[in-house]
Amino acid sequence: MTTSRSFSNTEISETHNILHTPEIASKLKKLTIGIAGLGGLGSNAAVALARAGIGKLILVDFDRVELSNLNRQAYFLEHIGMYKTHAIVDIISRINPFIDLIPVRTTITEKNCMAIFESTDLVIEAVDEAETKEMIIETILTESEIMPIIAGSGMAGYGKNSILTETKLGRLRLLGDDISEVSPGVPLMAPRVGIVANMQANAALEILLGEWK
Amino acid sequence: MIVVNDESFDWFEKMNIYNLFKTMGYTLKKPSVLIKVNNTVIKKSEWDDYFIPDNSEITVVNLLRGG
Repeated sequence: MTTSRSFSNTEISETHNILHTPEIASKLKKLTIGIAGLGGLGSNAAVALARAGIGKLILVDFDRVELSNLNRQAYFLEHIGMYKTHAIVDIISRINPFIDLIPVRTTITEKNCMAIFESTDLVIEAVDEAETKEMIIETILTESEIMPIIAGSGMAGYGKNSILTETKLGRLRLLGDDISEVSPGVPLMAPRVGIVANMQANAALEILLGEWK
Repeated sequence: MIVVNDESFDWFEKMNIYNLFKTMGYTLKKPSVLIKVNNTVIKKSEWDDYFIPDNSEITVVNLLRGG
């Protein structure tokens, strides 16, 4: 059964107030998170943060959705061929149409990185290539004095839940197992990529809201 | 002496980032890693000209493909 009823911003906000407490809901609504890359990590982290009630998301990717993405990314068959920036906006808008979504369809470089993310409270690194991960982390840590960044490294394969960890290195948090690189025979699969994506979203809430007591 | 990820290594005059990688057993000349020396990030573009000071505490973070 589907519903065609539309819900108001007030109804959704009041639900978040009840579920998350007014204090947390109000804080989250004022925050902006940047997501660098909208693949397995970024699309799933974006959905988790949208459901949590983040006020604004800056969503960055250059690529289009392909059939081969659907084994782990948040997209649907109907999104194939669309830019990931537009597809994720479509998905999040169906969860909560009142989140301020800024799609940025571009390749992140050392030159444009800070300009894209300068208004964010935190950046989630969610790109595929290791060199690009390095460039984004280096740029945020050297060109901003305060911005936290949450990266993912080591999430290929399946199982081995117990070795997925969080490493805290000043403003950098690194999620993953630090050993499982995607390679022939070691694919990226929804469960493990999704766990790390949700760990990234979870770490973002902890950094921005303070440690949960 | 320098300490890299809690492990001690001998230091020598004009030790650079490439010497560090060799000491640590890396085979790639420019691996995808984040390097912090005494809590300062050394960007890859600075590796050619950077010399590691004696008694440095160094963090090397491997960054793996996949996302």
